Amino acid sequence: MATRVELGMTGVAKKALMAVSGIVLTVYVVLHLAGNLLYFAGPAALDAYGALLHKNPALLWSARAVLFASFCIHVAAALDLYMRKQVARPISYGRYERAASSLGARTMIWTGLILLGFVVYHVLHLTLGITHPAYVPGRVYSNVSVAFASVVPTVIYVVSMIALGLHVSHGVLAMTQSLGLTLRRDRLRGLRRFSVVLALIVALGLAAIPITALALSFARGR
Amino acid sequence: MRIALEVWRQRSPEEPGRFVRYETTEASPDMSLLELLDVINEGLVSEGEEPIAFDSDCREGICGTCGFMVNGLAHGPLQGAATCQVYLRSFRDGETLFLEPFRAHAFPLIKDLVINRSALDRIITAGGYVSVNTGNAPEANTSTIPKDLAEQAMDAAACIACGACIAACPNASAALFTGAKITHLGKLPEGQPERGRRALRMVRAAAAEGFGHCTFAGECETACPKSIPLQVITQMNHDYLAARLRGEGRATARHIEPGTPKKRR
Repeated sequence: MATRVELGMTGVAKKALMAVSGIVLTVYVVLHLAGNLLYFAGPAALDAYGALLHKNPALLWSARAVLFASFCIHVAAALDLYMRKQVARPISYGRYERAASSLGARTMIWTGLILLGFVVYHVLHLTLGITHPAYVPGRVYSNVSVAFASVVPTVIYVVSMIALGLHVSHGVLAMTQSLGLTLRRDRLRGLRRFSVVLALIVALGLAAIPITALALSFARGR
Repeated sequence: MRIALEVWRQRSPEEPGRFVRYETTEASPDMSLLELLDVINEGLVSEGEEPIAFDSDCREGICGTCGFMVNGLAHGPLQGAATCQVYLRSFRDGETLFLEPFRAHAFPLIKDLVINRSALDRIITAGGYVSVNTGNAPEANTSTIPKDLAEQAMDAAACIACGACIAACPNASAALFTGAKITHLGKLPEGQPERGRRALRMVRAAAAEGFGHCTFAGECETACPKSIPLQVITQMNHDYLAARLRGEGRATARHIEPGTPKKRR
């Protein structure tokens, strides 16, 4: 039995992989937020930012490759560990209460699945323009304005950003412990607060863009 | 005081189990939950029925023998208390209590509320010890221990291996238990030589027993009757990953038979 584990990976090693890929994805989300907030600086600033990203194709594609790899590792490890949960407790409790888990911790797998669907939709929508009504490559601001002129995509984005906030609020905390980084109790308390604040900033910041675009289109329509 | 119990009754691992309802008016707020079970068992025995099987020994929260789920919480509603320290004053008059065994693949059920926790012993055997050469005890002051480390080691050493952390964990992970044992020894000078190897072996042993992974939800910390902090899990991950990255246990001696020619002719 021991040899089986020796060859495979323990849960601790898998969680470390999830933490490392989670750090890459969290850093990306924060950078993505910082770039996207240029939406509020007007069409010229946002389109210039879009052009800047496409300036160096080698850099762009290597960043995309790292992101894609991290994403795949994160999803594969998460699904693998989730499947093992049923193996570790084959007979579930008749009654089971969770006394300590945060909302983020309870919903991790579900917010993760929402985000998996969202990332696919988001890439088809605003990167490739396949599910977009009038996509023009390079015209970032107008693409965003047109995309969120209708209610359905806006609702999908806002719901997904709520899921992102919940996911980040537990993920940032959990990744540090998976890597064995928060060995002091007082630091853990600070980290709990930090992860909630970061989650709020990311979710509110990213949800503000589709909401603003929808509000502007309504204002223009009247 | 009226109390109703919904107790998990299962005669043997092979037979299917179910909740059976027992109602009593003999309860008193000063009675412990285990004493209430004793009272109900006396009634069952006098009626010629099989009494409810449950584990208990010291009944003062220090031995770790007792333990089952009370209303979905391991060791019941109180923090820092084992099942034997739960008194009926914690419940409302007329309340129904659900009593269910700790459930995990690695904790096979024996009967009713009794489970086999030998898996925890096997995790200890895998590395929860320090190798000490026999001989006279060393002079106490030869190795000094900083106060903080001594406190952390003592907090972790409070583990009584009751299994509540596993029972409360949504993934049936033994991370708090394994982490406590790893931290208890790994924080002290005597535990240093085997620190990396201990973490590797104990984490692998826990995985081989079929315990789940840790998602840091924090249920174990709240369920633990000894209030062992979550940091022991971080310490376990730290020691395990450090040992993996160092390539612990892979060092091999370079053996050359003396007299082997330096140059092949």
